[in-house]
Amino acid sequence: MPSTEQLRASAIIAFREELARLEAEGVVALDPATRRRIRAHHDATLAALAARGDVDLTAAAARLSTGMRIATLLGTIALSAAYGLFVSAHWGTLALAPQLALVGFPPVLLVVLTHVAVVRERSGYVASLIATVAAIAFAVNLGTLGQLYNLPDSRVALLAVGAFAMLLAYGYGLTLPLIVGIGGLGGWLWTLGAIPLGLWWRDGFGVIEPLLLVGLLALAAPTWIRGPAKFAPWWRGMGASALVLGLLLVESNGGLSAFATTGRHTIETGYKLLGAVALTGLVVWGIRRDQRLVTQIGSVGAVLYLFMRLVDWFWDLLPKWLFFLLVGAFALSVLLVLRRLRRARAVPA
Amino acid sequence: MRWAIAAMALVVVANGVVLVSAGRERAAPATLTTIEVCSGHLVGGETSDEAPALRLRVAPDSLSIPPGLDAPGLRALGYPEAVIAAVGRERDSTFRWPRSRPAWVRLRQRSDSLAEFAVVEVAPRRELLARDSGTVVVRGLIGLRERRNGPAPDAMAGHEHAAPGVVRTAGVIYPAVIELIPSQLHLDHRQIATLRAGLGDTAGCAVTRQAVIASGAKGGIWVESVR
Repeated sequence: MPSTEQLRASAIIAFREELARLEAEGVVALDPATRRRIRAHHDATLAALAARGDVDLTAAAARLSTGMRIATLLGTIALSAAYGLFVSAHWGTLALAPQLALVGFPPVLLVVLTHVAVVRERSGYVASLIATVAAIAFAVNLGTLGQLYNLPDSRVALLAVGAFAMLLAYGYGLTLPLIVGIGGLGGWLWTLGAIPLGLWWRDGFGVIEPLLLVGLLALAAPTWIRGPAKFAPWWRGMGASALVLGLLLVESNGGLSAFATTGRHTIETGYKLLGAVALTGLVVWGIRRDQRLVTQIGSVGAVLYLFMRLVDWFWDLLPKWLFFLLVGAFALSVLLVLRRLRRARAVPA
Repeated sequence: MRWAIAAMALVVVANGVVLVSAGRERAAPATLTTIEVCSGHLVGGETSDEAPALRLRVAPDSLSIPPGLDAPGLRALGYPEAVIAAVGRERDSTFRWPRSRPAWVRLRQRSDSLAEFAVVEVAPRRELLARDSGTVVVRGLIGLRERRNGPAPDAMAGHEHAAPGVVRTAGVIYPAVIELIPSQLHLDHRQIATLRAGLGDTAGCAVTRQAVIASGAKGGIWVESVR
């Protein structure tokens, strides 16, 4: 997701390129004084944006940034795996005190390192990596403590790790820990559905209604949680993913509903109707509010939903070649509808 | 920096809560139970990547249903009447497998060749279970299983090309402990070394050592000592 700083910088660069083109084509000719004033203002703005955050001022820099994001993700996975494997390799040979130090000290140390990285490296990539490894180290910490003291596994660990990741994400404006935080807190909320049903907390993951509520909460979160503007698309994207995943799962398997003790067929039919309305609503909401990620996730969900309905209705009725011909025709009609929508949106206000 | 301090405080508090409550419970064990440990009960240790632990193995279900898994017991665990009515009968096409339910389980070690644990009693709350020095109380998940009696002889007759395993008949529904929580107890580096040295790679329970399992007043369980 491009940050607000990046969007502004891209707009300035695009303005400069378009102005040069208009001048070359003889459409407009700014007087030197105005040109200098605009140039100076934009230079100052770009310098301020670059000082505030990591901003790509050229296409080459943007490509390098993508590489840096991929490297951050890979580095996080590799460092977390290294830590987890190191703990498990040495765990059995250590006495209690070194065991506790081995799992309790790293999250604290990594928080300090995150702070140092934020101060010394403004792009935030290194800090994001370290903060995410810190959250995973904290999860390892709680997991191994549970193992050490034979504690039953608990949803509280999800809450603790989610809260920890959120503190680092909002404290330092880091995106990767935010995703871990949303996952942790969302997972905790999802499993709360097990309580009224009298289930063990893990079995809460087999009940879909709380996931749908978590999705709606995450979609609404940016309106009531203050924080960096770049976080909003991630909240909405993860909320939309939860909604899409939940609806697709429950409409094909009514046994995943909290109300599965009553007529399962009725539940599936109800969720099929709800899915049609909710997925369409998600796409429309995404287009109207200009939420690109929500629109994309909603569209993927709607296409999958329609494909599943085609399978339900026609797989047993039609010859296989005719079924796939129908799917192809359906895909073409989706393309035509989306093209028409895009054209309608392309006309400037 | 205040966010970093808050994150560090969260780590310290989470660790502190676990350590203090476990420390208090372990200072005064409520019951001590001596069990036999066989080589097959041990997990990890030495050069293994797995953490050293003592596995609690529940014996395959017997035909008798322990107290707490009968109809009133299942009702107390929250199973609906339709599910309770299906227990003890052959599964029909309308039967839907219910989700497992958490409970407390009292286990007694068998004196057979594998020294596994048999379920003595099940209850929704720990206080409802009797405690003695011959049994261990842990959490568990209660679910329903199907006991198959094998394919009917005449079902096989007309299907000469079918593999025997393909022909399935509906079995009888019965309740069982499907998971213990925790399913294994942590062993410290001295305990695992003692047990490994005494048991080696012996098969089954030809050689055994003893372990004392302690239970705390609040439901904690741990290996107090080995000998």
